[in-house]
Amino acid sequence: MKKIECLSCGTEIRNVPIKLQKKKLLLVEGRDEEEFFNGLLKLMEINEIQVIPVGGKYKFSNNIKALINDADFYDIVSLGIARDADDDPKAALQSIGDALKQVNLPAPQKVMSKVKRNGSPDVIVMILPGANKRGALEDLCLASVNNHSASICVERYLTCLKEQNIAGPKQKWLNKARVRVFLSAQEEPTLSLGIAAQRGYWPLDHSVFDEVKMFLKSV
Amino acid sequence: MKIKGKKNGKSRAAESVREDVAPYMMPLQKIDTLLPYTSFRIQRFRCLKEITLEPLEQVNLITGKNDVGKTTLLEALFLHIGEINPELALRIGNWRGLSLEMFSSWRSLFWQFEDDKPIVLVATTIKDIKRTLTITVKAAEATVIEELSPKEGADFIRSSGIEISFDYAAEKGKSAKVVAVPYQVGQGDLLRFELRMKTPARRPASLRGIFLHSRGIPNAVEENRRFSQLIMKKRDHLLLEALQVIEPRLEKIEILSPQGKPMMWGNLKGNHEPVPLALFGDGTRRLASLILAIGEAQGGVVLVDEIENGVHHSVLKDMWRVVAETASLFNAQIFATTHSHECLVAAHEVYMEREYYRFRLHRLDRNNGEIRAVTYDKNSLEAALSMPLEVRG
Repeated sequence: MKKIECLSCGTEIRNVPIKLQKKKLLLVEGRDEEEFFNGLLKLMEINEIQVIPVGGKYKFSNNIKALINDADFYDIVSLGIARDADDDPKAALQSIGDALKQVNLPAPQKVMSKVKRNGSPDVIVMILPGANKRGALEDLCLASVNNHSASICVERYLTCLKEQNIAGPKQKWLNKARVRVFLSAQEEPTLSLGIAAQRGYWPLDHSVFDEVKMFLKSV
Repeated sequence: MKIKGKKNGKSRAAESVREDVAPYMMPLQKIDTLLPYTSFRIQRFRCLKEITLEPLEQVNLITGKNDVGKTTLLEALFLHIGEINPELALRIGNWRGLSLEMFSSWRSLFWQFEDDKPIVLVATTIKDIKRTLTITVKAAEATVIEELSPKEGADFIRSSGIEISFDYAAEKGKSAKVVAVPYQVGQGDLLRFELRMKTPARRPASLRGIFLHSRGIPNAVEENRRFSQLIMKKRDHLLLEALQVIEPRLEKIEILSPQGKPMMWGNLKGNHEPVPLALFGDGTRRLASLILAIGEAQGGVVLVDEIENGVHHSVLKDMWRVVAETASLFNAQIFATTHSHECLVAAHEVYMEREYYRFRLHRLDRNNGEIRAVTYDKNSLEAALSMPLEVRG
């Protein structure tokens, strides 16, 4: 069995299979998102949602097939799916819809809209960072600390790289780099956006997360 | 007319349909290389009201919680392989420790003991030919043998008063039917059938089928015969190589009879004299039974209850390598049950290494009182194991 390691310290934290224990599931891309959403759900005092990392976009189709085969999937009443838009929010929604149709689950035509069908769990999808924008969860986190003093240092760091003729991160990785630089400024640095959420490094009560919170309440 | 008699109370580890149909077997060369079963549907058999297993592969591992019908599924396959052999129904009851108290034995075959509706077992082959076994019982219209007062020195004979029918129909081919009245002889330790109807009179069974159940010791006579056949086919090295997975000191296996009774013996490196295979560990004997059964069932089916029994987790992957290789070589289809996560992961990993992924994991789940089957293919099992999800239920 694949060993799941702690995002923070690298030690093995899960060597037993995931058991579906709650009637509502939130499917996210990876371990980082799992930690982030668990932090947000805890803040919102929502206990009835189980967050499951189903792997990145390319694994989603196979992993949803595996998930619906689970013996306890019969009991699931609601399914939320959150994934990054990357370059194309419409394509992201379409890709999720195709995977859901493959396993005969209701496929939402639009985001943040719950689809119900007899004999299936309700399904609702959010494409991050939201509002039909390109990007990812990192964008929301960075927006939440836009006024933080450390964010000034992050930009100065990237400027410094340019000044030193260091190519630095590619455009598509730029916000991931910003997140890591920002988190390196914390008392107990971490590379993980999710662990940062658990430690309170992102102000989860910030209004940039309102749409995500609305989504979680709808799951 | 009597078609079969059997002593009760002797549970045997390896039982073969072939024993009963040997004279009618198809020659090996006529068995094609296709799978005997590509799907299997069970209606109203024991705890399984309606269940379909598909698609099937060369090796099918069946998992699930306790009391969901894993062994029952193997038993249904066993009856289906036997086609028109009602004695097999008694054997599977025997293995479970059911007595030949006839009325209850027969009723126990039927879902919720409702014997007024038929058991239907439908198999599909890769050529999409359906083969259906329908089992019914009804009150015997007139029993030839009635309950008699036992006289001193005479057998006690009691008719069951029921008529059991095994009706086997194959699309585009053979069909056959047996109708018989079971009756007990002696103090209930012998069962015979009074044959009412059999059509056609002589017909070949299509498949070989061997059932290795989870308890009991192997039948030495049967295993000697199977090993002898392997020697005749010059494939006996397969058994040695398989057992070396568990016992690397093993150098040779042979049939010896120093006390007059032939037995399988193994030569261990460093030992002065051979050791009876019966003295080896459970895992070695289990694997020996399995490899011998696969060799015997060429082109047929091997049913194994709790395949991992006695096998240490560290050699499970090696065990599956030899099982996969042997099953492929002899073109045998395997249905095995397991509770072990390590066992199913090992099987998956072995088939991931092979050129063709000829493996399926099937799980039986009980939901709202009914049992259904879920089948994992290569991708969904790989996905489930890497997330990782619990695939055993």
